[in-house]
Amino acid sequence: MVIERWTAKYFDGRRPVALWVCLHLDAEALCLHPGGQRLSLRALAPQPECLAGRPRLLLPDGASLEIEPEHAAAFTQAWQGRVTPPGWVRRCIASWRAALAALALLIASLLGLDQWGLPALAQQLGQRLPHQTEDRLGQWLMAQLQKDLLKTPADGEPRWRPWRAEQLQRLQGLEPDLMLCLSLYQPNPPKLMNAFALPGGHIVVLQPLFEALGEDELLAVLAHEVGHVKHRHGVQGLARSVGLGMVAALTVSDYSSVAATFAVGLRGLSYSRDAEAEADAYAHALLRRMGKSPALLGQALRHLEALQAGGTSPSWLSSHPATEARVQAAEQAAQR
Amino acid sequence: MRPPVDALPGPEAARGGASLARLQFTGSAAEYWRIWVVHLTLNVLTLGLYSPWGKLRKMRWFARHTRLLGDAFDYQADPWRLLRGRVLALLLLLGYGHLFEFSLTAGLVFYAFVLVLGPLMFASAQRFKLRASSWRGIRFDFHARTRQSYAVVLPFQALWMAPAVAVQFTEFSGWWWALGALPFLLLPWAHARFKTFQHREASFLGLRFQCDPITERVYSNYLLGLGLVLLAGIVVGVTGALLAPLFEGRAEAKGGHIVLGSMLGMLCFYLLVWPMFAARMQRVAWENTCWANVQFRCELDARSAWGLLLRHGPLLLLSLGLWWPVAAVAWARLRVEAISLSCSEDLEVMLSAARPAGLQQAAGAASADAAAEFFDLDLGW
Repeated sequence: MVIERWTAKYFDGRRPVALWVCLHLDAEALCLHPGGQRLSLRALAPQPECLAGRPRLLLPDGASLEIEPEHAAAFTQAWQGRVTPPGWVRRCIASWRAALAALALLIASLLGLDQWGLPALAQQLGQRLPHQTEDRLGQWLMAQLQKDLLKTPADGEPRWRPWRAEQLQRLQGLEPDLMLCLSLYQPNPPKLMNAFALPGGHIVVLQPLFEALGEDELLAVLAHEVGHVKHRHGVQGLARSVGLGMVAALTVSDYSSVAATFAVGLRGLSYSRDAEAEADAYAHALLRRMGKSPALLGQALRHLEALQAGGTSPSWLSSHPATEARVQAAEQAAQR
Repeated sequence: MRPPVDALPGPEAARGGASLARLQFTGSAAEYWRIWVVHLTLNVLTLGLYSPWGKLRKMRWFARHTRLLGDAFDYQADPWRLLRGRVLALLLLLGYGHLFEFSLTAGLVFYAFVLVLGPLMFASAQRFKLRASSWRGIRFDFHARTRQSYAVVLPFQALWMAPAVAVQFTEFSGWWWALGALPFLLLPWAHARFKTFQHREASFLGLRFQCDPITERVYSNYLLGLGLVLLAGIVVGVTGALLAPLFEGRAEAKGGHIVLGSMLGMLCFYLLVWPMFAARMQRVAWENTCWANVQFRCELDARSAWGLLLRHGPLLLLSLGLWWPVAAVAWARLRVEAISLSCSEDLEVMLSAARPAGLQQAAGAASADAAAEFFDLDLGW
């Protein structure tokens, strides 16, 4: 049997100078010539990736060997056959077929995570979180908002108290499990026309909205916000955005943090649009149970849009679905 | 046992005994694409737990395909340490991004925490990276003492973070904005100090790299960058004003063009300003660096960085990111091959005469204060 020999550069780990050596493998050792040094294969075997680029071996005493290019293929074959077979990751990297299969798996698992994994996780959290904790989070967010956006409470508004009492009583009958807390504020900046729900059932109505909409339209908007409370969108949204950020940071940001940030931002907005649609659907059903038409929500949205006069962005850049689509959904719900 | 030195692939001999050697990059985009896709898949499937092993292989791949005088660099580190650093970095990142949304006090406490630990963590990450890197079997090292790290990194960090903190205390208007911008005047100074510190504290064979002060040139880089930002702003503004009548009366117009404008601004920054700034910073830092009697040269310029972006940017978008590894390899090649070393004597002769100085062990032991060692891990990113 012919003994295979390979040439390599030997670095002693102390001086930046290469020495030429000749290598061969015997049953238990890697032998170096000249010098006759024998290195036990057992000690050499756990080589971290000796094959990236040119084959390279780290020796126990801090020295290292780099196999010459003309012998690289032969050495690799002998080493893998007799000492360390390539790991499966290494084999995947070496083959186009495996890499393309990995790509298919990657796309499938990203879609799965996005469509089912994260939403399911967020929903679980939403359901498991004790109401007390959620309420505390809501109160605390409220306290933050009161520093700026909600500086001035507008409880003095004469129509407000009777309206609130009536709605709370009505909702108590329909949704006895929900803990709701309604409040009216004069916003800063003063013309902001909005209403929103915080975790723990805190629903805030801004005074310009309260003044501008009719009684039934207000009811529709309230039903939409109750939908957010019912589905616990506040906590879920928080959990999703944190989860999404973590997945992106751990997977993509090694390669591009800018891309990761953009992806998280856009995906977060789309989650928010899904939540809005869910709250709308809830509002349709609730309005019907109150003996009103779901079309009221469409009417309120159209009214609001007319009042605000423009100012929308393309739908994929928006936190809410396009008004037209929401109005149509409401009208369809009314016909059913 | 010693081979004749002549047998080694020598540097291109310049006149007399002087020599010039260029860094080479030998990696192929096709191979890196496969590595990238397999790593990404494993990262997603393991929810990121695989990432230290992936990063290690990636770093090793780039190092082993970077050659000087015919011999490759190498990167050897313990993946478990990388994992530890990663978890820490993730916590910091989350805190950085989200705490101010929750509460002012929590945000401030976090900023203070980053200020206090930042220099320590920077130094240990740098030490980790350099000790993992080697050429011809010899590891690099990083010697910064704790006090030095604080003196240099702290001002840089503080200036960088000042506007974000100031915004929390001020209304969004008037003179406060101007005051908030003041720290930016000092930012180039701190950045220059940081860069020279990074180079001066590194060593190879127990011998420190040296770096001349670069403050003036960093200021001119920042000025040039600012000029480009203004120019881009004017161009976007004028185009917007000219196009505005076309959109008049459309319901989507108002919010639409604010969003579009800010996106264009970001795009301008990343496409126009950033490549120039990054290329010039690298050039400034390397051209003022030397080791023993080896002087570094760097030929990276804005034009080649822009050219790379023009060639690869559209493909990156069209492929939904799948072109990324190809672009990354092209960028690595551009950056690596822009660097060359010139020496007044023959490089091989100089290296074979070099004796490892005692500095490596002595300074290594001295600077290894307990706290720094505790954080001696790579923060990734």
